[in-house]
Amino acid sequence: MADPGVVLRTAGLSRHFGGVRAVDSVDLEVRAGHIHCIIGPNGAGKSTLFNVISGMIPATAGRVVFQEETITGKSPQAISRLGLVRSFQTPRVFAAMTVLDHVLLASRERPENGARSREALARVGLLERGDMLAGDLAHGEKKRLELAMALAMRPRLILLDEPTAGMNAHESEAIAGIVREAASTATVVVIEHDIDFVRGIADWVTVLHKGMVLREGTIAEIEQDQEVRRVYLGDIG
Amino acid sequence: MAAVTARQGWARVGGLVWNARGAALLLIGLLIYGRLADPFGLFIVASALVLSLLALSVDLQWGYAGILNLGPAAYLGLGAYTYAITQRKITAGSPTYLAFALAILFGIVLAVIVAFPAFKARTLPVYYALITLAVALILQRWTAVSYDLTGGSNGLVGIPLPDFSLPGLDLKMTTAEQFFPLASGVVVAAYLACLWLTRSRFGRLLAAIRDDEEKVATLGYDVATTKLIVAAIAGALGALAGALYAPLAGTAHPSLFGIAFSVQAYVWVAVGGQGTLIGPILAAIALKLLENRLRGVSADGYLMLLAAVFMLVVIFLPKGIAGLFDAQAVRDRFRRSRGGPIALAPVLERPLDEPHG
Repeated sequence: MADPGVVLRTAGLSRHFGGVRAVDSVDLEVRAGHIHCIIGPNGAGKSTLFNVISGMIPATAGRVVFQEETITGKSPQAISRLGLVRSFQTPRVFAAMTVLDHVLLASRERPENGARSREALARVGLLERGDMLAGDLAHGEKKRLELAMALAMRPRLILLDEPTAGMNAHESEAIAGIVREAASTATVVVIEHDIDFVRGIADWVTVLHKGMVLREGTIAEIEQDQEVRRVYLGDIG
Repeated sequence: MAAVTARQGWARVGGLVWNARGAALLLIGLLIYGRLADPFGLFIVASALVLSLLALSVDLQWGYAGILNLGPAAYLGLGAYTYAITQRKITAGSPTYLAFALAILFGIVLAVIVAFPAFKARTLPVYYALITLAVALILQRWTAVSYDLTGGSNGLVGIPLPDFSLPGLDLKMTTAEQFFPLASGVVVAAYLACLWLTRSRFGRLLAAIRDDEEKVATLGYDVATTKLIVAAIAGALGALAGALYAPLAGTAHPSLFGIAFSVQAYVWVAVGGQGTLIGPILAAIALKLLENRLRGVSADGYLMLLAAVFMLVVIFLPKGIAGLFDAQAVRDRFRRSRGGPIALAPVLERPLDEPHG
């Protein structure tokens, strides 16, 4: 029976690359309004999971249900239009395009009435950079620009792939604030390695290991778990 | 906030005026040349102008949308034969409106037939490039053996000049010199249309697709359809070039589909400046005039010089001659922030399909 509080569900979702089971029969339930963090060691299949959910690579088996609709096999643009948007681990920006033009592209607004775009830029603190070429931004700013593009699309669900990768503690704290604010209008799924960051934002945590769900729970439960400590948290102290 | 918009708005208007000024200068230059040059010079520049439409079609696809079409001459040949056959078999002795219209229509149809399955199936760009090359070669071969329709390897001769007569108004061209203002007008109009297109929101979408198709798809845009529109416009431009070239040359022959014309278009785009529109047109005129000067001395010499110019430009002027006048390009040149000189890398990249994270 479908739970109305669940906005995204995967059932037996798998993606194999030859003999490698990058994602192996993952059952995931993301509740509306939550900030749901996905953690796990390198190679656990976190980014592949995002790639399959967002339609960028096909699933080998299983299905993805977003807002009661099966989206497995749909194209990335169709999934995006349903309100499921994503960011990338390495920020993907168009080097020769201005910051504002990026957000206008995402919001589909005309330059003369780009209220939503400017609001999105303001939310991530990049409004003053609107005229700059995205290629000239610092790494952290590019990641924030990706976040602004996602916000400008007014999504129902945002998948963020390591939003704080390569950032210092101060910048991470700012991102946490942005993510918390984003969660007031959308559900957010975050892949993250920075456990302090996860502790500050997560309503629910899923631990992936070798492509499979190892544990699920609140961050307190996860941090207490011996098995999680052994395979993951122990590693990063 | 408002300051950002206003400044951007002005920058955009400024950019448009600056580029439209290029069109005005081009037109004035052509008018002056039209007054001064001898008939042979007019013929040379007219053919350069007509073929520069093919270069424009390459620039639109390659320079703006990152689509590598290695057989643009397929459209040149198609347009030329459509014009020639229509004028010989359907509307002989009548105005040439139908011949031009059919040429453009067939150009669009061929582009859609070639591009639709490839773009929808997200064919790798390098395979798409090979498909377009194969299409051009197949058409060339087919034209060379279809004697009844195309005159086979002899081609078609005696193709009449354009005739835009209307009831009560005689606008039939009788000399090749009359072709020069037509070619000038069409090229300037095509340039302005491409300029408008590439400066629009659609143009920005193209630039984004050129940089990162996958990212654009995740923003909810239909990348395949957008690229298809570009291919169709380019097909129309290429076919128009052919429909103008056949009457100017007076002949249509299978070599119009050939690699030489395709390569020439790419050389003009690279030398003139990829993604500049005006650059390829200027390069077409300059190199065609140079070719004409040197042909008398040595045909091979010209080809070697062309190759040398091409290599020097690719190495030292990644944005072509037009890039010399573009402050942004000069900055890029000194900074060298992005890969190789000519942006082939994004065209040839594989889509993401390997495990990580």
